[in-house]
Amino acid sequence: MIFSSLIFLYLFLPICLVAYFIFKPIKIKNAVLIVFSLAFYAWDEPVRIVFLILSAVVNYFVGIGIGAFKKEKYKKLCLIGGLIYNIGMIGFFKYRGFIITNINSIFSADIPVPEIVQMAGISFYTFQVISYIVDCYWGKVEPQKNFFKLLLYVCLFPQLIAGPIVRYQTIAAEIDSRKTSLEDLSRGLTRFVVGLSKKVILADQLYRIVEDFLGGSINSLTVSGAWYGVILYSLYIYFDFSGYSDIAIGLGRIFGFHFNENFDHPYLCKDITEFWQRWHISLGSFFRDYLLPITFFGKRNKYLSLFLVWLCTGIWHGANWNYIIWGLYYGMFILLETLIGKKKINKIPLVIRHIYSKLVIIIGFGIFYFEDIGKLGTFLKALTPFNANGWGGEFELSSLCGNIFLIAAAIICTFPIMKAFGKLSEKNGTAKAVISMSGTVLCMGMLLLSSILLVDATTNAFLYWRF
Amino acid sequence: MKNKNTEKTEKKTPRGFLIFNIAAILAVFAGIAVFINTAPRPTVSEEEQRELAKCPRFTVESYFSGEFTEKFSEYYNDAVPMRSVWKLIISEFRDNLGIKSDDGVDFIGPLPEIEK
Repeated sequence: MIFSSLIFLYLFLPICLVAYFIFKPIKIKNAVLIVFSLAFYAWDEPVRIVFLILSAVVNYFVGIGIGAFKKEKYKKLCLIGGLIYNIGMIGFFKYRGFIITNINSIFSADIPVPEIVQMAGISFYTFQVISYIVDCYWGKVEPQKNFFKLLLYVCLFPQLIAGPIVRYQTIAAEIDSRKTSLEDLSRGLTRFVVGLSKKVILADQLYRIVEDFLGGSINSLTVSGAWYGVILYSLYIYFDFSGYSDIAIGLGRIFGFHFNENFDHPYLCKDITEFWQRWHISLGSFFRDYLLPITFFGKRNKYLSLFLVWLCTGIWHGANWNYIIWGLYYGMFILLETLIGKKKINKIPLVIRHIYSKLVIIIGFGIFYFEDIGKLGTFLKALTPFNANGWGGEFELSSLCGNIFLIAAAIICTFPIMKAFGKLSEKNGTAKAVISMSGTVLCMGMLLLSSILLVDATTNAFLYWRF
Repeated sequence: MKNKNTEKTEKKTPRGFLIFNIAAILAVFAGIAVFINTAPRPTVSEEEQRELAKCPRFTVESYFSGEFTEKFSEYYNDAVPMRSVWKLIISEFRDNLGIKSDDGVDFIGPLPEIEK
């Protein structure tokens, strides 16, 4: 089940909300959330929940083991066992096809790829449980002794399929005791509607144009067509990912959980290091906190550690070579910026820094889009004057004019307009009332429009669904 | 325990506005939910000249194979009450995402290659 579907919005969610708010005891509220989360995950392929519950069971005992053993050696053994299990599960469910296909092509072998259940969101919930067992080992959190509380952390449906990657310590106290205040409910509902609108009104409509240019055969793509398509794809991907995060954060808040922010207007960045501090924050911080401190290559070799982090960032996004290239591509720019130094970068005129960062990001999303390496090569060539199809212009201009309001709205929404309105309303009481009321009316309209657009939604799956 | 980031950036909103905001959004939510779950569902689309998806019969086997949920999702999304009205609104919405050319013909995307 996906969030941007009528069945989730108007059948699953209302029943879940009624069942959740009808009971007062936290134990029953937690039980309701577990039942609905498992039903949510089992919707497309019921067998999935077996592996999800298994993951919770294994990591529960790993946590208990780490807490129970006094000797460091045994604690470490528990942690290593847990890590092998978790990484093994991701490897098996997500990368088996990629690994076997590459083995087949290198050794001219014919090993069949086993057809097994698709474990949607495995990268997200597995990273969550990895953070849990590592934090238990480091003594940052107490191992959870109640299995159902850990199961709730693992399977909580708002962030189960597509994040953000929520740390156990972020919601540990809220699993035990939480209350949805009026502020939580109001902000949660608003955030939910904003996320849904980003996804349905902006991302899905932008993707229709992207597919016209980058989908199918790209041999006739002109220079302007290639740039136009990939710029729109960069906008699409932002609204798709951040829209999903907004829905997750909003839903979490409705249930009384306070997740961390996952996107912070990434296109406002002035360099690539800053971009990754604003883009998919929960993933970046996961690698920063759990992978970077591990000195695989000795303390001196920080560059190899950096390489490993960006290799993993790439692989995490998908089982294909283009994602690995994408990760290393970013690693290269981060390394370059590290070598130059923040002070020297800050001396570069702001306009040039903005142009540089946007160019790197946009070309990067071109790499992200094309899973077929041959097509990726054709596309990268199409971006340059070496493109045999010329500069183009007529079709791109026609498409631009035909979608100008959508594109303008998308560009405006990459800026922190909510914050700007918030600041404006601080100074004047009347302005505050007008802005607040207008915001509510706008939310009502966006919810209505999103729901209508979902009637026609055929290919609206979130990108992160396959993670 | 509240998230520090959330605490830092948020300012208290007057209670009256919170209630108004919750009531307004929930009213739209509830209205659509009641409509979509209780209004009669069409079986045929005259504009598309096709039969709409039918509600599948539940069996244990069809549930565990994922067939039931897949077909039910299809039915829920396809046979929406007043479907033709919503489709018309969607079409209008997409037509107004930008400025139309004078001749009423729009080229979207590169033209397909013609094999010689």
